[in-house]
Amino acid sequence: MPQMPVTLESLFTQLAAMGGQAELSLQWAADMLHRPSDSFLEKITQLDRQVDLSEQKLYDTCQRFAACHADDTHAVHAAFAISRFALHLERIGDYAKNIVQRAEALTDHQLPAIQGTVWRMAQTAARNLNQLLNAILQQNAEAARLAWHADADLDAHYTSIVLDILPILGQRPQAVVTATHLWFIARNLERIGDHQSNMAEALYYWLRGERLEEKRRFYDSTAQLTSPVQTPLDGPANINSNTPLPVNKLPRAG
Amino acid sequence: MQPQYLFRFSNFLNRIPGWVFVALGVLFLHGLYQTESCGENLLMCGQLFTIVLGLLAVQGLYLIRPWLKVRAKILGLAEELRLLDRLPEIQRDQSLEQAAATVIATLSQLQEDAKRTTQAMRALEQSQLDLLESLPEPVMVLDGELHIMRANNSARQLFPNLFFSQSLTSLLRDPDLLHACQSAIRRGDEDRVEFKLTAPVERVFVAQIKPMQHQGFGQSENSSTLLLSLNDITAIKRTEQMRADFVANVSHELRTPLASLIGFIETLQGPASNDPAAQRNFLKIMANQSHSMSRLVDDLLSLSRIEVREHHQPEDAVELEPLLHGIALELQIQLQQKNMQLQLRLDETIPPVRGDEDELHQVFTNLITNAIRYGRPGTAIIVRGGVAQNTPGNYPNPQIPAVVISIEDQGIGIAAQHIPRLTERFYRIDKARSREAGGTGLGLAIVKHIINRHRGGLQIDSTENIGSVFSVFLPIYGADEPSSPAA
Repeated sequence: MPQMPVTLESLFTQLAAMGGQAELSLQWAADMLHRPSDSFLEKITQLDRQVDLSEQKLYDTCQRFAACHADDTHAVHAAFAISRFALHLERIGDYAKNIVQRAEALTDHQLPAIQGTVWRMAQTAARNLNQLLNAILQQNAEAARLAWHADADLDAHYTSIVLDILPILGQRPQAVVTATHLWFIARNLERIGDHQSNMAEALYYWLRGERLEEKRRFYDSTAQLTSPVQTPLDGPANINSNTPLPVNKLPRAG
Repeated sequence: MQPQYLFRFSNFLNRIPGWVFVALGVLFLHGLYQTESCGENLLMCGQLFTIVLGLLAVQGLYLIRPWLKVRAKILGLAEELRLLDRLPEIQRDQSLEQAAATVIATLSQLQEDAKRTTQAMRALEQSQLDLLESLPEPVMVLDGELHIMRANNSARQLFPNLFFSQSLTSLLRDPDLLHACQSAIRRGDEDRVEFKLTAPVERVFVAQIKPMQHQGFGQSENSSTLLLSLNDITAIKRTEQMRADFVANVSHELRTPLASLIGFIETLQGPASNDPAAQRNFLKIMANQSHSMSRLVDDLLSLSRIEVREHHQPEDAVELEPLLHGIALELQIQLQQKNMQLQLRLDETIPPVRGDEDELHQVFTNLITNAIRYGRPGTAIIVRGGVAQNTPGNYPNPQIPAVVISIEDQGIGIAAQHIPRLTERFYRIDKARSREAGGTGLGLAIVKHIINRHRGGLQIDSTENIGSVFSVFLPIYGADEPSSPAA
């Protein structure tokens, strides 16, 4: 049976629907961190299944679209870019589900300050995802560039949270479970940010035909952490004074 | 003759085909020929006369046929117009010209009427569009594929990027909302959906989806359109949330100073009741603590007030130059206490920004007070201002040009890992030092929320042991007018 030709618009409609599902998962994850409610776990499992299905469907549609317009370079580029977005969105949905599951376990509120920061980080991630999807659906390369830069904020948050959690692991054994959950949630959010910046790069390359090569304001520098970490009783951890935390030199405003 | 008889007669005549007249003519001519061939008898002349007369009559009828048709048409039209109450009865003795003139006059009057009716209809349509345009809530008309065919003013305010025939999904993608729109198009269901919009400021809406089957808004017939109206319930949600947050913050942050006050009071009543030196000392500490508690309550209240209306962007034009000069004067005493200088290096002309003057006053007062607090004594605080060349990632609408005011201090600076969290409430890098300097831990949170409300951006750059720069980006007044309204 001959299939209906696929239009670029129908690809965008499917991508938008899937993006909406991923956005909602992330929103629920943020809500769960701020005001836990027990009804989310089942809902997010369902939503995650929907995101998975959307990803499979969108991948098929992209293939058909590329097959229909095999002699049109722009169409093939679009099919590749959109299937890539779908893959990233599916990962974002998975991470959001994991965050909701972990947040469910955070009932003891032993670390309210860090949890508040993680919640703010989740809100930032949700806001960035919204702006990134707007950029994709409005085909706006400049907005893609801004979305790419916005990831720096998540990286900076992650570094800051890790430096706060490290001394707790050493000093408060009773809070280790909570601290670990929060660490993993922050880690998931940081990964979500990376997926978003990959999407922003792919969008920029698709629209402009050139790579996005600019300097970020801040990179996650926890990978360079060295032991031993000084753990003062009060306040955030300091890094061993012999190996200062390598942080990019920050540009001045102007 | 009554018009209907004339009409019937003319119809009858016109229905007779032309060849009948020709045949009758031939028949008469044939009779003529036969009569002539009959001979010389002049008595036959009478017959000849009849035949010629008959021939003339038949051909005469043929000739007046079109004229009769015209006359019948005019009189018929006059009759119809009379039935429409548009024409006085045509008198029988009126000539055809007079009748025609009356009919034509009436027809032109009718045309005039039709024009007037069309204009009235247009005005009505326009007034309905104006009504839609002036509705306080965002309203959009969508076609069957969820393209935005029309959006009113508040919808364009909500989505500054909105353009004609854009897909709704490039602005709103909530799964429930999309599902409700689909089922409204397919089955004509009305629905209400609550959804959240995360950027630029979190807002909660109830969307009312109403399918419309009539034609209009330049649509072709039988196209199904949707009316999507958004009802902003952010204020209600925020008020609920504010109450909960306020109680939590107050109970958490006031408990510690209250406990120490109680401790001092118990000491004054008991062990220190006869020790004037200790009493003076304790009372001084207690006075300090109660002042900082009252500052904390003030800050918490103003933070709550800003949060509740954060989704509502202020609309006044604010001139920043006089504002900054005023703040510089107000802070003279504090500056002199630390032997510091405030240098205003503003560009010649700074365009007015869209904002709320009192709130912006609070932003710059808080930032400059911080610069005084954390700057080294004897150094200068430099305030620069001008139109921004580029805006930071947290500036929500990069297409709207911004004014940037940056406040630069020379002090201890801030380590990079603290920068993203500076604007959290009660986040302090060094708790003891902040308390000593008189901070409540809410100053930058207030700044951040005010800037959010203004749809502006805040950028913090700092190098440890050198100093910090806080740059505030605010949208220029009048720069956000939609360049071309959607359809």
